[in-house]
Amino acid sequence: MLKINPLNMLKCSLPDGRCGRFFSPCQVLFFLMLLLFWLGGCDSPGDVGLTTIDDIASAPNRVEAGLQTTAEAHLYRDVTGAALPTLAGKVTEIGPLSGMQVEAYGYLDFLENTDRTTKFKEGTVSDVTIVLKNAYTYGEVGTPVRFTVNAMNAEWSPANAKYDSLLVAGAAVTTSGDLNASAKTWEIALPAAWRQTYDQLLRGAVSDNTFDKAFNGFQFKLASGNAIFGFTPADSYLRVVAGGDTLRFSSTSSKSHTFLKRTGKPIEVAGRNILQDNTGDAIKLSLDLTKFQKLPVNAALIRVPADTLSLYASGSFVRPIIRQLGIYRVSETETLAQLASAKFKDGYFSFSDPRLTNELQRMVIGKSTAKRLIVIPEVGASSINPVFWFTETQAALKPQLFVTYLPSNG
Amino acid sequence: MKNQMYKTLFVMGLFCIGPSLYAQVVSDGSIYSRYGLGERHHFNNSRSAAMGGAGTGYSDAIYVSATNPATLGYQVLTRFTGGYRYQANRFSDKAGNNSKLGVGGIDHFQFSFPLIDRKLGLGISFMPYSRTGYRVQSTGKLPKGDGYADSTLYVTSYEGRGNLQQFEVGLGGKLGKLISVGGGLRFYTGQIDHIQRTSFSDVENFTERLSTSNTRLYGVGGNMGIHVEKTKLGKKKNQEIGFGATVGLPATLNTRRTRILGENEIVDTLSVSQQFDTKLPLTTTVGLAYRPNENVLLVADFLSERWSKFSSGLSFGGYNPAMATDKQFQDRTRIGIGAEYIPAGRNFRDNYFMRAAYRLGFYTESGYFKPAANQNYFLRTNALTAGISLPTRKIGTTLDVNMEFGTRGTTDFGLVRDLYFKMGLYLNFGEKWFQRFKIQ
Repeated sequence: MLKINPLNMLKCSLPDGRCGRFFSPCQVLFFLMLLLFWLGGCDSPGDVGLTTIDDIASAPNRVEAGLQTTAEAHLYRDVTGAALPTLAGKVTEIGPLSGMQVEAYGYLDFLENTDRTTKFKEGTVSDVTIVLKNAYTYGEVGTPVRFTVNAMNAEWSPANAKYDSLLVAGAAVTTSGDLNASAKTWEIALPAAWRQTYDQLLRGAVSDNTFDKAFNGFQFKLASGNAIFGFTPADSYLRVVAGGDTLRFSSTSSKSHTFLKRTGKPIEVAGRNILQDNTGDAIKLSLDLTKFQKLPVNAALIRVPADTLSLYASGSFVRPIIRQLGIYRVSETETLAQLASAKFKDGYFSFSDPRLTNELQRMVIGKSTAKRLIVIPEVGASSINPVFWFTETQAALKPQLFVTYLPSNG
Repeated sequence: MKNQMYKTLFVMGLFCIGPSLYAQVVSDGSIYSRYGLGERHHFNNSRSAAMGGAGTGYSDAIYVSATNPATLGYQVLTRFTGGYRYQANRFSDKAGNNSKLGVGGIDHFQFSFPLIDRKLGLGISFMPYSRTGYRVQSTGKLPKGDGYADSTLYVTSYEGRGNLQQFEVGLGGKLGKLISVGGGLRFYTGQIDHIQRTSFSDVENFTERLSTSNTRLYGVGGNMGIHVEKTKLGKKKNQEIGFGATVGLPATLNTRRTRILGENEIVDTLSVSQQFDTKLPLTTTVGLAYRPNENVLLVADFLSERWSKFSSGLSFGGYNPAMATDKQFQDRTRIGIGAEYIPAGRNFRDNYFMRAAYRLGFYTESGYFKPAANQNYFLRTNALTAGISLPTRKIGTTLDVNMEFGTRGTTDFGLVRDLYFKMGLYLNFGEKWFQRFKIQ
């Protein structure tokens, strides 16, 4: 009978009595270590065991939180006045905004061109024309417009100038002829008296005095018409002809300014407030977050219903509408920090951004430094575009705040 | 002398990096470690681990007990032991749902050396008293609407991580031929985090948030042990019998809990609790060992831990200080049995695998907490253990590979059953250090 002793399997089998192990202990150790580290990387966590966790919530919840909105008249945005394009004109509103008037004074300076030819230097200035590039139109474009060009008598700076900073101008230099309100380029010829005054300076004939020192730019005001236009300084210039040669004295965006003034109020449009760019309109947001105190906030969405339809103008009256708004945090020092921006879509401006969520999270844990949150237009360029938002009286259309949070964290 | 210095630095270095290695243990263990102070860690030495955790009754010059300081007096060699353990878990509920998680980490460090050969020894050990490590998650969908054009998937995960560490300095010595006694001073320190994290598939509109409950504990305790051993029994004088007992003294830990919301950009401490006392219970272990011949060792241990006397000013899973009069925790008991077989016995010239030690064991343990609040069910763990000890060229140094397969819990009462497989790799290094050379 054959007896098999399993222990014999462990004994050495080589004829000389030495062990013939396939792997050395070091190799075995190495492979075991590899196996353990490899196994350590496998997992597939699931919800098994979740039922044993009875003291904490398992699902984020989304609820509507208290949000109150109030119209504010405050020029929040830190605009230097050099915001482009430079606006000029005057518009008396029609339609739903009837009763309201907006006037803009545009300020442009032109810089000396030193690439003068000998002919130019030795000739006589025969023509100086202001060439303006129109980049923005708001108002009536069916009838011609005229502009008054006033001289700026003193040096001025657009630095720190907001839209309500009025720069005082001197006497009128000229008034343009009829300008086509729909045209993209306008030319306003300066009178002979002005040419004679600046003849030597324009030609660079006086070495110890320069055109830039003596000339301080123009203020543009609408003389007739019913529209506000926007000029891009980089494309606007003085065209100077002397001795048969022509030179451009370019304008510069660093020396331009817009003064805006809104008077009157639109006729009452039930349940609507106007939010107009650059005129000091803002929506102040008051949030009630008491029920989320000390809880994790995963998302915040603020939805502001807006009416753009009733603001669409017909005929030859052009009225661009605000298409984008921004939510900003206003600090104690009145500086702004953007939290979200939203484009108009399906009747709403819907703001949802991690920055907004984080700000609400800071609020619920008492770490926010925000003095208040506001909504202001965000058109990216200088404009007077309006939009209507609904007041609290329109319950179904009032702005809403939705907060996604974890109800309890145990 | 130079070599000895390097060795000492090596051991000191291991003790220094030990805590940071422990910190890397991730939250991928049993959901039941959410309860109490976590999953109690039972470890005597790698030999006992393969024999159902039993080993209080034997003494050995190669395997030093981490729990019975009385056996420190048997040492001849300076010894360092350390181990890496991997545990694969499979969790299932009554509905047949399963999930798998694996966790690996450094298991323990121990350093010991004889002050007087076979008479007096010192041991330093560093290991977890209890471990918290779990991760479960639920998924769901937030519907579209309320300004959101699309629905979004979310994952809410609950994670636990952390250890209560136990650092012990023990001294043990022989009183005559039969009896050894020892004592140890234990330092407890650790922190336990319970984390709740919610993340979303739509990361543009939703922000992941994290909230953490962090509990820090520290305190001092003690441990005492006795060991009685009778050798050279039987006709062939090759039988041995041993008895051991240890008492882990109750310890009061200073405990403080902090609730933290967020991470990275937004972090806020929501609340910091007062400092409370947490009282660790008395632990009593008795063990028997019998060696019928030089090939076989049989061991059995019984452990009792008086968690019914546990108290804390703070709540833990399954324990609410406001209900301190109720019996919220019960005494934890553990019975372990095991056997070791060395084919070669004491024949050091036999071939390699004959000189290896083969071990087998079993233990059953009743947990100290009730995972289902409304049911009088206390967690139970049953496990089979096995291991092989591979000798090395260096006398007194072994490489031990242990395995454990166990089951914990039940699928009744809305609970889950854990099936786990542990694999441990332990280096048990011994060398003669601090020798006094006689100058001739």
